[in-house]
Amino acid sequence: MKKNRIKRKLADSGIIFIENEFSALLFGETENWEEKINAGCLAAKITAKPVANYILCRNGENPEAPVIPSCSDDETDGIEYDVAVIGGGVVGAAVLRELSKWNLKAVLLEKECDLAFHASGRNDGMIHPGFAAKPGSKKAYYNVRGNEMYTQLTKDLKVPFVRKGSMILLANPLYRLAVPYMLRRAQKNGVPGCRYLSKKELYREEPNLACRAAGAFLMPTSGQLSPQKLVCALAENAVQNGAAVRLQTAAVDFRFEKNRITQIVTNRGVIKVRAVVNAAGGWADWVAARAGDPLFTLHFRKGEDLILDKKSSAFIRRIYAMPRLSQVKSKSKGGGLVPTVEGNTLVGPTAHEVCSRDDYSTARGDVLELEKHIRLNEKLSDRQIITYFAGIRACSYDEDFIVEPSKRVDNLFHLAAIQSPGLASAPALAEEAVDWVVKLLSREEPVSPNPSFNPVREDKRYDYDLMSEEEKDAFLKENPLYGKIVCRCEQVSEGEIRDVLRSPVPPTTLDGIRHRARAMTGRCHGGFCTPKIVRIMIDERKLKSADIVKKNRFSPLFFGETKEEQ
Amino acid sequence: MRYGECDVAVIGGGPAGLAAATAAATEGASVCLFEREEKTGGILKQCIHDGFGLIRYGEKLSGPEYAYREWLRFRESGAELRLETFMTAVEKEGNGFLLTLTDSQGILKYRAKTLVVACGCRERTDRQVGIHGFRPAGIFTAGQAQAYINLDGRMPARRCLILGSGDIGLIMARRLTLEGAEVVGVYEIKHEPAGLSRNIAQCLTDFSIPLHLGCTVTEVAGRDRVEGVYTVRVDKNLVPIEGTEEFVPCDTLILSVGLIPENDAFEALGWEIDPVTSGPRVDSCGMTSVPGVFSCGNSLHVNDLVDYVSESGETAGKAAAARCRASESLPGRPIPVRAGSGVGALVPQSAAAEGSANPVDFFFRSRQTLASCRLSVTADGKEIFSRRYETVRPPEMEKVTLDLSLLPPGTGGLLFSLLPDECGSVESETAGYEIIDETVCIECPRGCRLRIGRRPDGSIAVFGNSCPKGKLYGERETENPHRVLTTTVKTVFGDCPRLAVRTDGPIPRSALKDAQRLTDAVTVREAVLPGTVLIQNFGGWGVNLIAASECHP
Repeated sequence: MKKNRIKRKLADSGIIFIENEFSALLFGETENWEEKINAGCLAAKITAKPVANYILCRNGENPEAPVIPSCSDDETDGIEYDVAVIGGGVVGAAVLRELSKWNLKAVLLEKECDLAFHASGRNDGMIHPGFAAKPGSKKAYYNVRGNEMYTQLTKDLKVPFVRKGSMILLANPLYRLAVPYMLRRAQKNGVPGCRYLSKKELYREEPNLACRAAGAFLMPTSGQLSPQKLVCALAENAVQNGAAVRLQTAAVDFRFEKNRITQIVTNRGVIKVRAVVNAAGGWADWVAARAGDPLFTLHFRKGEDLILDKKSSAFIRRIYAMPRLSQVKSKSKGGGLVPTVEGNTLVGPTAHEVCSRDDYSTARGDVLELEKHIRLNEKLSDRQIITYFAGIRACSYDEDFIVEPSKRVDNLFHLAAIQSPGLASAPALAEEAVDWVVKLLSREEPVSPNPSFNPVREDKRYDYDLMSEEEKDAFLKENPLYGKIVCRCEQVSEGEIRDVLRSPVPPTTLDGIRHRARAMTGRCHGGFCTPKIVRIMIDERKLKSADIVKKNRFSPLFFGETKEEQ
Repeated sequence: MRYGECDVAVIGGGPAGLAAATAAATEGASVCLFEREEKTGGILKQCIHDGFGLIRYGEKLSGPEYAYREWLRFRESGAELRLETFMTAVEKEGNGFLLTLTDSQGILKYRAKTLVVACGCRERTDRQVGIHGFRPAGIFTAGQAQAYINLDGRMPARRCLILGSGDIGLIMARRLTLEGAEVVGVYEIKHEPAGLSRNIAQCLTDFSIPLHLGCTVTEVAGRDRVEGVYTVRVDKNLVPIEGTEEFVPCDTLILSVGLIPENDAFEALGWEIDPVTSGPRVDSCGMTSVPGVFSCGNSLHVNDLVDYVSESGETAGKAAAARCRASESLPGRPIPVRAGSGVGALVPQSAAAEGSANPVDFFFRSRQTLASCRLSVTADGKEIFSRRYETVRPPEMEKVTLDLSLLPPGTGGLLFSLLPDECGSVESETAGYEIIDETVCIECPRGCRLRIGRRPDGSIAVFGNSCPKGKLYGERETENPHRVLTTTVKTVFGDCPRLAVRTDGPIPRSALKDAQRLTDAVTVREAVLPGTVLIQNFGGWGVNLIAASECHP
């Protein structure tokens, strides 16, 4: 019944809905972007297949292709790999590391000049408990599994991680009626340890709560980490175990033999492959189509977060939010307060549909919208805002992950539409994909585990932070540059910056250093330390001033040197 | 692990810390100065412009020269100096304090009876004033741009817009212009400039750089590098006026939008902060609400003049040393000091009573620009001091010195207010003269507004000056304005690729750019100290080009 009504509604607005063996297709034309997205969402309600929305929007950006890196050479030409992973976000990096556990020659292709350049580096670092996802969804399954894996994973990779626990604050005593339902949902999804906190318990734990909450629903497994650090650590460990990372290398075309991809054409030559994992984030639909499987299209939801000064850490223990009843059914949880592992508090995120895949600009109105969350805590104020940022979630129309081997192409696996809770799910998604890859390749010849796989990635700063004062003293005698503090706000030393520059996937940009070492992220926001880091980078790499860039080669910091003809 | 002990620990080796350590050591205390950088001098190291030290040394020095003089004094004092040492924690321990510090040899634990905090201030950033858009390269705080240009010789801009008319912003407008960049304008959200008048005169007017008052930047365009900014005019409540948005193409945005005292590392001590100054509340000895902890310089409140920074360091250092000598004799009940009508920032926030430093220097800023007014200080309602001001402006900090020894015992509080004053107008002075020019005297930070009058017989007179220097300045300004050139030259030394230099006397203003071109061709190949003459009779202008900083292999 409902199905017919929706079909009619689509037809009335001139939208054509067609189902083929693999996808539901939408064609037609709309006036604005919102109508296009709405049509996609409606279609998702009446089909179990992924939606590929080919509606043309008259007043919107209809991006055709990603920007392909302008460097063009033959660096990768002719290299044979067993597996290529497309995309250097958290999913791609997790897949690469998982692959490095096997005796397989694996490569990660990333079009940008660094990892975690898009969604993976632009989120709140939350490792969700797995409560929010619909029971039975892929999101729920991989989130809960992934969350569990983080304890060991972060220990191995030496990425600071803490399970702070998150709370849904109940705005009204009536909401307590929902608690049994919430507990049932947690049980269905397999989220451990959830429980109701009485008003008394809640305010004992969070004495600075400014709002009148009737109680809270606690999910103790929620965690927090630096997503950029995690992605880099995953990739570094994979490289240490024999995998390769190719930056500024975009998969632009695919060559086939029968139903198999045999070659990937990149801007830096043609590589040979036996299996391909599509983890291309915001461009996963484009990659899927280029790879012969136009299974789905994505739509994009932007989110903004505020970052508060580290001082806020004294006033907040757990992650919390107070959703309004109207948000229960909405696609995003409406944001809240997220104390980070480093001590800052994130406020957000917002959620609104956008037509661009990489428009990370922030706008005043969106930031103001977030200030309501700050008021949840009486000790936090907008005066503590250090900065703000935006990220974009790449979503499918049914809002679930796309985790499946291609039905059209025999050796292609999709990990797409990995929006929130993608970070939390990534390790479990990687297991799934690699399991499939290993089975696939084993049909040709047996695949054996990598005998020298070492799950541990070394990180001196991580070790340092856990040391006693006596140990620190001894460490500094061995590593004197770790005693020279460069970034005063985050207490990052010259030794750390130099080690980051020498890491297995070394950064080539200031943002790359920022993401790995946290320098330039504090309250002075690089005012004091950037000149020092520039000096270190120039010394370490033997560069000139004009070579120093912020995020890519189009973002130089300097126009050469003074007293020089420019 | 290494351990140390001293009477007075000074944190921060800029001008405030150097003066505090010198003063405390001169008083006989054992002193240790901790500085996180490789050299003392703080931010002065990169402030190569002149105008420092008029009060303290009676000369117009550049920042590095001033820092060098302060270092020489410090060196004589016998205080200990620990460079490249970073404080990671501070806690109370018994009657004193325990500092945990890190340097390249390990962890250092230092016990001190008293602490002097002299950590300076930091700059507010683009995000802290609500600028939106992408996060491209090409957005710098003025201080950061200053470090790149003056210390490292890197050129951060070709065509830039400066937001904020704070002093560093104005100074950088001139520096960037001299180094060959185009400054399209200085934009200030307020309806009057935030910097000293003399800096408006010698940094903007001299180079015909437009100053846009009541105008701000809302958004930056460009994903990778700045491609331009959106500006907007604001009304008198600083709210953007719709329809006044304008796109200004540029490759760089430089911000001079306020300074914040840096005290974050000491908050654990639990001192009280003054919300107006953003620094700790102190008494007239510079002691904070935590007994034994002193504050001075820009970490106490943002100063306009380094001379006052050094003074406050001396006050704090001296008092910290005195407290170590006689820690049992606690000062009497302090007299609270309050800002009344018209007064904004006011330091100190209380005056220690009998037996302490006297007379007491008070620093205040007006809340808004006031013409012909007077400062009235009352003790329990009775006026004890009054001074007339032609004008007071928020950017210009005023100093008054009061002798509090005459206050009756048990005085309950002091109140500082700015009241309107109907004083005689200056018009009568200029009767018979035609005003042909108005200018700001740049001889000293007071920045007197001069009016140049001409009689029908051609004779010239200067009005509005407060001293004979002003008269001379006014006369020369009418005939042939002169300026000191401050800039850098190349060196062959990797650690200091640029050396600060200046002319040791003024040259014709019209020759500034030619003089800059001459310095561009100079390379220093030998070690020099501040004051070393590099070129005699530079450019034939009858002045020498001298080193303003030091450099050596």
